[in-house]
Amino acid sequence: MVYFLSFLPNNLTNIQTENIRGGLQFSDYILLLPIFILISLFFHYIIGWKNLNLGFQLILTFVFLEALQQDNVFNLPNFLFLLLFTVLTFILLGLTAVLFKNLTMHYKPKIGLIISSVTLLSFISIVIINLFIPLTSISLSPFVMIAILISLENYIKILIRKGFMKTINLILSTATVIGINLILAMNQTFRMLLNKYPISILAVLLIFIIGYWKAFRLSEYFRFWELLNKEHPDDQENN
Amino acid sequence: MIRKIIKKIAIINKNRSRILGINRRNLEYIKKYNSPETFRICDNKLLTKKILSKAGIPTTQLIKVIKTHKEVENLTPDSLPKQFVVKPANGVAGTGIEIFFNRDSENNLIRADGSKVSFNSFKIYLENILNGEYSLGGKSDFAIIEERVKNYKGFRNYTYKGTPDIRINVFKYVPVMAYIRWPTKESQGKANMALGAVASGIDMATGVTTHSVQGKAFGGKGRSIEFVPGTNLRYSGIKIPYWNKILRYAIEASKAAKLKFGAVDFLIDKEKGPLVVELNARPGLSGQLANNDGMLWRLKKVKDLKIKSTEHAINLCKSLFGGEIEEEIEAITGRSVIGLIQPVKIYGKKPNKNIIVKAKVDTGADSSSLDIKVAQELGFKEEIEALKELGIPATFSSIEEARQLQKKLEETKMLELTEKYPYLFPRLFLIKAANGYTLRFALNLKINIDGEEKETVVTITHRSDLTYQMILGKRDLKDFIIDPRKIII
Repeated sequence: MVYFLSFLPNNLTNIQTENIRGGLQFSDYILLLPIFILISLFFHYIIGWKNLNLGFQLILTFVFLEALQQDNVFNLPNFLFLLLFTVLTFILLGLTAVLFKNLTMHYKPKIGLIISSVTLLSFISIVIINLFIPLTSISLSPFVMIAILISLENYIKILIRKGFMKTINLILSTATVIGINLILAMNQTFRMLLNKYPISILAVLLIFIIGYWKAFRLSEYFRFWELLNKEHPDDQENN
Repeated sequence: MIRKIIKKIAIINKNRSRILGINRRNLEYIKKYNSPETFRICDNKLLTKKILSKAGIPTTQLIKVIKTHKEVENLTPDSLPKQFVVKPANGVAGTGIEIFFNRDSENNLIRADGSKVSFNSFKIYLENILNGEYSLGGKSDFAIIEERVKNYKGFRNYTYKGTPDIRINVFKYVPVMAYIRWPTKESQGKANMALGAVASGIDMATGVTTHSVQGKAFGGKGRSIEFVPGTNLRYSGIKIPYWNKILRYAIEASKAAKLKFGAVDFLIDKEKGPLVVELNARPGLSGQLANNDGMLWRLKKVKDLKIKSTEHAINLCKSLFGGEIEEEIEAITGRSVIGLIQPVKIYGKKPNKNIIVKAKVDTGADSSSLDIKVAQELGFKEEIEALKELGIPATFSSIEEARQLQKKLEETKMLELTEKYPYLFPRLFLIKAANGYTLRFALNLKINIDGEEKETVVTITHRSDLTYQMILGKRDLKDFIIDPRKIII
């Protein structure tokens, strides 16, 4: 099974590590996916952190992963640039959503308009930043940035429904999960173990277990702390 | 220290089985008990209204349904009343709801906070609803315009601008928990706990508010609150009007929508009384904080019950989950509240010979009496046999005859017997029966009523052909308050 999951995809497809990008093997991408899903589900169902949806998290994780690692080396300028771009996009998106809120048009064209405007504004901002701080050391595929922009449709919906502060809260918890995913994925020892042992299969099993998890989420221990500490006279009588 | 920690862990562990968490709610209740049809009804306010009206359950009056952009275009201020509420038919989590309290001479609509909305902006807002801005998945939607409910007079001092809403959690068509959400300044006049509204738990039996919490933004835990901010008015002790009607409508509404696990939301109109405003197939868990009690143990109690009628469901919810107020009465008076039929534990001669019987409370009887067969099972066979040998007639035609024998036996044989059998009471009881007079012997017994143990004297008689094997008389009821509505299952 380990062979199937790690070596077979590389050998069958003849896709070499370098052809994909940097130091990550083709199999790494496949084997990392269940791990990322497991981490996200763990935080949601066991810790009790509310996150943005799973697909959104996975896209952002892979996008950042793609941008961060080059030749198996952590690329700090790329990381900082992408972080700046994402934060800038989030802020612009928030402002544009408020600005366009009262436009009388169909919902989807409105979302399209917001995303297009933010894309243009983000790139203009980058051009302006470049005037002051030359961004020569940044080597990012435009696909990475477009993927971030498109995946933000999700964010607009939540922004409209839940308000700015709740959305920020959700984004921060999602960013933490993505950060943990990235730290794991960038760790060579972990990737080596992932290829050598059936950790991904274990992850799938754990996902299955989480699917039936009925116990309290960790956050609920805080939420219901007073109730959990309440002594019931009935219990004493029954004893 | 370690002992304290162990004790605390044990308490937490025990309480976990009383509180409903979100994972369990999703897997064991929402998905298991609600059908796709139920979700379809509950998620669509228009459909909910139709189903409720068909079932004869009062809801807020529908003024208009806006389905097309043409209808928005043709909408004039005169076609709307001065006060109304607008809701997206498929809105998510209460988003997109606007309440308008008045209209000025320039046809600007006025919100609760006094802010004005021009009629053109109002039309844009309606267009946004139609375009699916507030609906699930951004799908096209309808705008529902309905009457604004006028706040019930008795609630005015407790609310900030808006109208409080009452939520009844139902399971298998039995109300299991209830709470009322009071709009506050922090929640901008909205009955939304996430924004800072206050929620008060409601005693199911009496409809009186108990414990209260104020919700915090960001979904955090609520903090207990006692007084209405800036006043000396308590949130607790408020009697919810039309309580029986509310319970009845909650049961009937959940039946109409086949909502087996969910919540029914009410507003109370000062003229029309309780009106169902929404059915929720995915209810939150804040009711547990408001009631300072878990919901899971209540759900477990209802799980295997078969509900025969609406009346049955009302009685069940009151007897099973009422009692908050009862606890307060007990705290003030120092007496326990018992029902007309009360389980009594009777301690036998030997430690393992205890029996629990259903006793009928009879305030007309001076002393308690017990069936002779139960007394035998408790291990008092010898005492009963010895008394049989005295040859006391079953009935006496005159009181004098009975008194004579009573006196004679008490002065002679009874003294001897009580020396031999210490559980035997030395006196005989003269009882007036339908067919004359009887002399009953009695036993010194230890009994437990509602957790209170006491030594008492219980007369022994034949009750095996009667419904209840024991009668609790006045002498044993001195430490209790009797509530005829209290039913113990």
